[in-house]
Amino acid sequence: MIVAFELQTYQGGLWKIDSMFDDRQLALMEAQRLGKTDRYSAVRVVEENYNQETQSTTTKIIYRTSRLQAENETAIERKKVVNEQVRAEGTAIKKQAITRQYNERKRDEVKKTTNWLIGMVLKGGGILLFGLGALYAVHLLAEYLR
Amino acid sequence: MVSADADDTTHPAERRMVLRLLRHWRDISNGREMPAVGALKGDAIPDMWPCCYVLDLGGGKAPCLENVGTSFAEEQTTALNGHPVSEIPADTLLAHATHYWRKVVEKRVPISIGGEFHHRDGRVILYRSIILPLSTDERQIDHLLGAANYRLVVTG
Repeated sequence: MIVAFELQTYQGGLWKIDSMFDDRQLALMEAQRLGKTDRYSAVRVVEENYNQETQSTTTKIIYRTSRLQAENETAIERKKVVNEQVRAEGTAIKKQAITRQYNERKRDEVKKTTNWLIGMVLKGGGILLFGLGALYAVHLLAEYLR
Repeated sequence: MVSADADDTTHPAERRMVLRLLRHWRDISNGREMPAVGALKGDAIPDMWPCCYVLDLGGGKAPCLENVGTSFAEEQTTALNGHPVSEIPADTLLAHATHYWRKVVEKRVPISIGGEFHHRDGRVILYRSIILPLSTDERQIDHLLGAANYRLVVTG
């Protein structure tokens, strides 16, 4: 059985072989060190076992930095915050719209009431003037007939 | 040859030298897939340079050794500067450190291999080596940078 350890880095959406070792610890040490740098978004170590008898190779990931996962989690968290902000802004906008509608309705009601009052005053005034005119006419008619 | 015994008693540097050289290779790559041989300066890695050698792939001709470090002097392989790799005597550190150069050219990535072997002088040696690709045009690998260090295995 031949064992090899591939140190792979995640670049441009692909895993690329960075270096190869025949020693597990050496590969892990370098992977851990690379994982702490900002150079790559993720680093992993793939163990390759080559069976000479069957001429088959089996691979397994024995180490993977959590930076990619951490970045995903950060992105999800950022999305959540943005969503909350959008929701909060939406609520504020909705609230503003309701207040505006309420104010407009109130303004309309005041306007209507004012118009009604003006109408009533005008109507009342008209009736009063008509009444006074009628009384004056009756008075003039009475004087003429005397 | 420079043994890593002294290093090992103070810190486990025997195997880490290959990682330090790998980091230096990355640094001088400067964003490229691999650095050019011109970017390689021995005085930038004075502690590792004696353990290094350069293989000139010679554009299809037999690869030749260049700058074989002083740590290989004891096994008299430093005299092989300018000679093809095929002339490296078997059972030497340099032979073990260079034997997988084709795989590095094929894979285009640094490869580190270590192991134990009986040196031609009778000692049992535990070594760790690395070969790193170099390219001037980033397409064709024209040189390889290699390094190796070792420690003696005390046998009962």
